[in-house]
Amino acid sequence: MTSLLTGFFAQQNFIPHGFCLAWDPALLGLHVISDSVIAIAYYSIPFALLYFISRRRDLAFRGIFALTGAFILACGTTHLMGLLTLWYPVYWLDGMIKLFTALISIFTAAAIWWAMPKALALPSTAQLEEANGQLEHEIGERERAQAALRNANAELEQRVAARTAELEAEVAQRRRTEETLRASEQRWRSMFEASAVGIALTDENRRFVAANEAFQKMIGYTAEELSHLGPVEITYEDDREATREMLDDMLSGRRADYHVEKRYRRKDGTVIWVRVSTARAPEPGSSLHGIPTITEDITERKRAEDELLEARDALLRVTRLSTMGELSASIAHEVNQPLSAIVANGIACQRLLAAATPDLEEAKEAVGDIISDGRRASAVLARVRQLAKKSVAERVSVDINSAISEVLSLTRQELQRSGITTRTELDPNLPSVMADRVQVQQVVLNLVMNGIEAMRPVIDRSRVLRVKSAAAPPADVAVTVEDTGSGFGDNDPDHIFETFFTTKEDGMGMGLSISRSIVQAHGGRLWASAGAPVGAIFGFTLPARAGA
Amino acid sequence: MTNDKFIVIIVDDDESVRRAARRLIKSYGFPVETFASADDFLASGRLSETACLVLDVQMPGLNGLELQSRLVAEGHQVPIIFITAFSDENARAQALKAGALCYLVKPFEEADLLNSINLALQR
Repeated sequence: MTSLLTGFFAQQNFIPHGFCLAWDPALLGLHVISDSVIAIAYYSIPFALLYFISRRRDLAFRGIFALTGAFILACGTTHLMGLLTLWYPVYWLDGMIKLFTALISIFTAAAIWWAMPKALALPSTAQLEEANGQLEHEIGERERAQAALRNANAELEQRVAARTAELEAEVAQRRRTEETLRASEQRWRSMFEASAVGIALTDENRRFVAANEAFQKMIGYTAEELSHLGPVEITYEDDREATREMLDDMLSGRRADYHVEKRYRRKDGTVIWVRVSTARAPEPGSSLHGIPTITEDITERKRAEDELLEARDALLRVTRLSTMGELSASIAHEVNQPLSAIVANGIACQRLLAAATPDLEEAKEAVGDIISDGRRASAVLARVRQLAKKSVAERVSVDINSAISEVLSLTRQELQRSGITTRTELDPNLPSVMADRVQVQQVVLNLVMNGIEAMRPVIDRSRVLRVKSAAAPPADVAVTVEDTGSGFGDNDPDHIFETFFTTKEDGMGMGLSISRSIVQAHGGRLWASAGAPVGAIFGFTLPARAGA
Repeated sequence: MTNDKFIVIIVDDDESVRRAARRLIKSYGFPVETFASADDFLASGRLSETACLVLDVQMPGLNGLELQSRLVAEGHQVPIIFITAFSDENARAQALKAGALCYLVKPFEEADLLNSINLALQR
C-alpha cells in the first residue's frame, strides 16, 4: 500500500512536461497563466454555487447543483495538475485526478439528463409572471369581492340594527296598547259592576251570558241562575210574546235597537216595571257577541204615573159633574119634554078609545109617539149617565159629529134659555178619531158652556154660537166653537188656558185648562183666538184614525 | 065667544110635544093648529082667528114672552096659556103681569090645561 501511494507521488523516471515544451519561457508562461486562470475561475464557480445553494433554500435540483460544483472543482484541479506536471512529472496522480474528474463528469452529465424532464417541467419565468399576473388579478378580484362583502356586511348590520330598533319600538308600542286596553277593560268592568242600572248580555241562544250586580238585585236571580235563563223567561207572562218578537228582530238584524217599557217577574214572584234599552253589538268581528241591554227599574215611576192618571181622571170627572150640575135644568128639560108628550099622548089615547066611535087610527099613532118619546127620554138619561159615570179612560173609534150633536142636545135648552142661536156646520165626510168619547165630549161641553157664559152680558147684538167640524189636513180633525161674546179684551188668549184663570165671577177657571190637557193627551191641540168682528173662537184638533 | 075666533093655536119648537098637545086638545073637541115658531105663527095670518094661544116659553127666534109683549104692544087681546119646562119665577111673574091666563110647568095636569082653554074660550 505504501508502495502504491508512494508510487503516485513518485516522479520515478518520467520527464516533466516542461521539458516537452523545451522550457521555452514564453510557452511555459502561456500554459502557466492559462491553467492558473482556468483553475482560479473553476475554483470560484463551486463557491458561487455553494453560496447560491446556501442562500436559496427553496432551490430545486440541489443535488445537481452540488454535483456540478464538484465536477467543476475537479476540472479546476486537473488544470492545477497541468501546472504541476510542468515541473513535476506526477502523471499517475494527474491521471487518477482525471479519472476522478471523468467519473464525476459522466455522473453529473447523466444526472443532468436524468433531471432534464423535471427541469423542463419547472415553470418558466414568463409562465410564472403570467401566473403571477393571474394571481394578482385574482387577488385583486378577491379583494374587491371581500370589500364588497365587507360593505354588504356593514349594510346588513346596519339594517339589522335598524330593524331591531323598529321591533323594539313596536314591542314598546304594543305593550303600551296592551296597557291602555287593560286600563280600558278595567274601566268598563268597574262601570259594569258598579253601575246603578242593570246591564246584561244576551247571547244568540237567548240566554244571559253576563249580568251585573244591579241587574241581579233587580230581578232577584243570581248570575249563576241567570245563565240558565233569558229575557223571555224573566218577563211577565203578558209581555213575553212582544219580548220574543223583539229578540227575534234583534237577532235576525231586522232591528238595530229598541227601547221599551215592560214588566219582569222577579224570582220571588213580584212584578216590576222596567225600561229596557238595547242595541246590537256594532261590529260583526266585535268580541261582544250577543245583545247588551240596559235595564232600569221604573216601578216607582209607573206607580206615580198611574196615581197621577187616576187623580187626573178623578179631577176630569169632578169637573165634568160640576159642569153637568150647571146644566141640570137643561137636562131636566130634555127629559121633561118627552115625558110631558107621553102624558099628553096617553090621556089623548084614553079619550080616543073611550069615545062612542073610537078613533083607532089616531090612538095607534099616539101609542107610536109614546114609544118613541119614551126612547128619547131614555137616550137622554143614557147620555147623562155616560158623562157622569166614573169611566176608565179608553180610546175607541169616535164619530166626532155625533159626539158634538149629543153635547148640543144636552145644552140645547140652556142655549135657548140664554137666547143664543146655535148654528152647526158639521162636515158629514169626516174620518173618525181614536179618542176617549166622554173626554172629547167634556171638551166640547166646556167650550159650549164657555160660549154661553161669554155671551150672557151681550144685549146689543145677537148671541150666536157657531159649532163647526172639518178635516184639518194632513191628518187631523178640527172642531171650532165661535161665540159673539165679550172676547178676550186686553187678555192674551193663551192666558185663559192657565189653571184658575177666569173672567167669570162664579167660574173656577179650570174648564179650559182641563180641556187643553185632555186634547194634548190625545195628541191634539187646543187654541183660542179673537173672533171677527167680535167674540172668541176656540178650536181643537184630534188626530184622524189611520186608514179611517 | 064669537064664531070666527075659535081656533086653539099651539106654538112649540119640540115636534113631539106639539103633536101630543094637538092630539090631546083635539080629543076634547077643539079645533087646533100648531106652529114650530112664533115667526111661523105671525106669518100665517091666523092671529085673527085665534081663540087661545098655547105658548112654549123657550123657543129659538122669538120666544114666548117676546111674542106676548109684541101682541100686547100691538093691541091684540088674545088669551095666552104658557107652558114651560122651567119653573122660572121671573118669567112666570112677567107673563102673568102682561096678562097671561096661566103659566103651566111641565109635566102639568091635563085638567089644568083644559080648564084654562075653556076659560079662554069663554072670554
